[in-house]
Amino acid sequence: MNIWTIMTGELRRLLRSRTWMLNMILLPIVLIFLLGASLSGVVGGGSPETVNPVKVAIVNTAGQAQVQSAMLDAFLKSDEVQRFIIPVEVQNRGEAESGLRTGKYGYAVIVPQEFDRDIQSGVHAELEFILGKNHSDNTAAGAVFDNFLSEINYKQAAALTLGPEALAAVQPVLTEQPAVQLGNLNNGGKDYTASQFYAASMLLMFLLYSGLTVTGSLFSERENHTLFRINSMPVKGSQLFIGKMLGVGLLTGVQCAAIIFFTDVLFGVYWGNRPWLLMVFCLLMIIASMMLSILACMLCQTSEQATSAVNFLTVAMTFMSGGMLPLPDSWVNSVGAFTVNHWELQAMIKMMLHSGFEQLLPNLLVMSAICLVLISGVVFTYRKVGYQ
Amino acid sequence: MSKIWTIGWNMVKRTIGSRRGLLLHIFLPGIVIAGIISITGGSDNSSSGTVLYTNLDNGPGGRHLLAELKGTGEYELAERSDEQAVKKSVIGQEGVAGLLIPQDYTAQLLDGREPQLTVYELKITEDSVLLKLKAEAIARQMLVTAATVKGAGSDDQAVRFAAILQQAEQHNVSSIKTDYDLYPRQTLGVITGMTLMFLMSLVTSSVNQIMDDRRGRTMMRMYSAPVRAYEITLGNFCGSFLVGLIQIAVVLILGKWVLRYDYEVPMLLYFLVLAAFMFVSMGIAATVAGLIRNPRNAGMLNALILTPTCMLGGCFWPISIMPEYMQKAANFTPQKWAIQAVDIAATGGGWNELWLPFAVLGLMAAILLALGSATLRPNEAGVSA
Repeated sequence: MNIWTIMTGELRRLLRSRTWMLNMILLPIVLIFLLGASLSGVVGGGSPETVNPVKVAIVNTAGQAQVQSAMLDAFLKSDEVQRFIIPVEVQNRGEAESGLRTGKYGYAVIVPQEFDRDIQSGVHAELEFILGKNHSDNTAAGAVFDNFLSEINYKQAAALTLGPEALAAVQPVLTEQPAVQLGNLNNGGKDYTASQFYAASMLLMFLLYSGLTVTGSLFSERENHTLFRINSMPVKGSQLFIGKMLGVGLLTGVQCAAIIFFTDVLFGVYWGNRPWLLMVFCLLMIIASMMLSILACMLCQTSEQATSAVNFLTVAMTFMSGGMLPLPDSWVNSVGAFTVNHWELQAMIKMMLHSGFEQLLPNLLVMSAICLVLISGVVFTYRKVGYQ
Repeated sequence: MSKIWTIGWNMVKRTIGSRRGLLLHIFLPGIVIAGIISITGGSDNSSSGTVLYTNLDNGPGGRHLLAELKGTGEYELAERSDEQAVKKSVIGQEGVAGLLIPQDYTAQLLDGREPQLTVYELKITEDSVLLKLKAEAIARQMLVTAATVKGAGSDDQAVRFAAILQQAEQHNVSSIKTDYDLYPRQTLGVITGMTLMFLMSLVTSSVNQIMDDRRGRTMMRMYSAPVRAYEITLGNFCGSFLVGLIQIAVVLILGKWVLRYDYEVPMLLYFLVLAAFMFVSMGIAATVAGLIRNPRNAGMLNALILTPTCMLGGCFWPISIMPEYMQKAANFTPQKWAIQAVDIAATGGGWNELWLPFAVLGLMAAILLALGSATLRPNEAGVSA
């Protein structure tokens, strides 16, 4: 009965706080929206109008117009290339280099003497590229010129093997479909998009952040000296503690459900085909996050320190599980495996991809084990330290 | 002046005076940022992304594709037994992407059909996008080559096709890339972003102390001493700024001289950028703290501002990949300008370019600090809830 009273009291206190509502429900949705909107350009493969053509300095070491590379010339004049590249003829290498340093050009190509003749006679021929100041310009211009060279390379190989007359007979190949398709990782069900990955990792980060509610709740009672008053009531310490945790846990569950619901409705994030199992995993995550913050509260003296500790844990674990930035894969599976997020994230992705239950089982077992260890840790420290 | 200094110095002592405070506010963030620097910075040039593949084709086409991908030196290839195994490994994040070469790929090419390669990715990364482009380019050339072989109309097409591919693997026509290291390293932006994020959250904690003062009625007692409101405000700001400077210095020293990460930027300039950013985030924290009366909520609301602005300002990914309207919105975040300043400095720009981000940061700081000190109202003890 006492537990019930304390729980409803806690719920009422939290629900009355507008900041809490803002923080815990609005913020994740805003973040997932930001993620989705910012990365949508990447998802769509970049629409053509956003491509800024790169200014490329072309240096003909031969000098005179008649020995210039006709092949390169024809290539640079084609419409397809002009969308990406603005070629600028430059007198010599020094001028190109200084232009690159000041940012006048984004990329430079040095054409050696008799480039065309070397290719036709089948000897080694190479262009020199000089990289500029902007990483994405380098990638874009590099890709264009690499394509140009590789096309010549295959043609030359064909000419060397089949004889030059074979090239004359080549019809331009019209393709109807891209040579590479994006595979469906799914085992049936809806299409998986990469933004789902970030939605899941953000949800987990917020479930960890909800531990801040625990620290707030435990320390406010102590700092406002209301804990003394409660202690003068016929309430056991454990009852108070359990009641508080139930209240916070219940609200966190609601928060989690709200995030999943709103992201599904507003942004079309698909959360998988096993709602019950998703609930179980969320519950385990909530337990883990709460237990971690209770431990932080009991081991720290002031609320500020406990808050810092929870913050630190949250960011560190999200980061190490690869949820924030792409990390090297060796990291994700070695160090990342020591974080709660790792197991949860994988389970959620597997659910989104409709993996079989047997693939989810290891994650479930590991999470349950983690929760058990944490709960026993909390019980142990509660016996030792208590909540006074 | 001495009063301001006393209050400021007291603030420093309270925050990092004790051993625990020193650990929590100086060493822990320093170690975290240094760790992030070494992980992301270390992965920059040495490690290459792992591509998980399965080759169901037994002709030269599939072999050639893999040889070419390996030849770029950007990927490590790891074989899996079949399609299911590739998918499973991709889901298990064992590599950046998966590649499936379908059965009879070569035969279909020579037949004049258009077989498709399949790339699997769990999340979009630069590596997986580049892999797709690269595979696409190689596959297209093979398609053209197959058509050429067909056009030549000989009987032994498969052998000739293989011979051409083998010849192409020699890379008789190639390029050399001269790299003068003109562009800022890819990880520099991320590292700066992470540092900014941590700095911002650290500032929050020192502004929270001002709130604690007000809540604990210590502020009231201060008024019984001959100090003015502006002296208290200034003193507190000075104190938290000093703490911030120490934090920046520790992080930079750890990164530069202990972990030996090459920032490619003069350290003094980097320090200046971070300090300017520090001013702005103090302003933000103070404004928020002034608007929200309950100190605990102020901390939470800061989180509400911190993460979204970091995302928008390009702390986690380059701004250039975001859509146009998001890039415009990014102009309102201080992170964007700080990162831009570092970017300009890394590419060797002088003060003729650098003045703009610094001016914007300075303006933001001035406005926000003015707002902050107006709303903070140290002479009110107001606590609600």
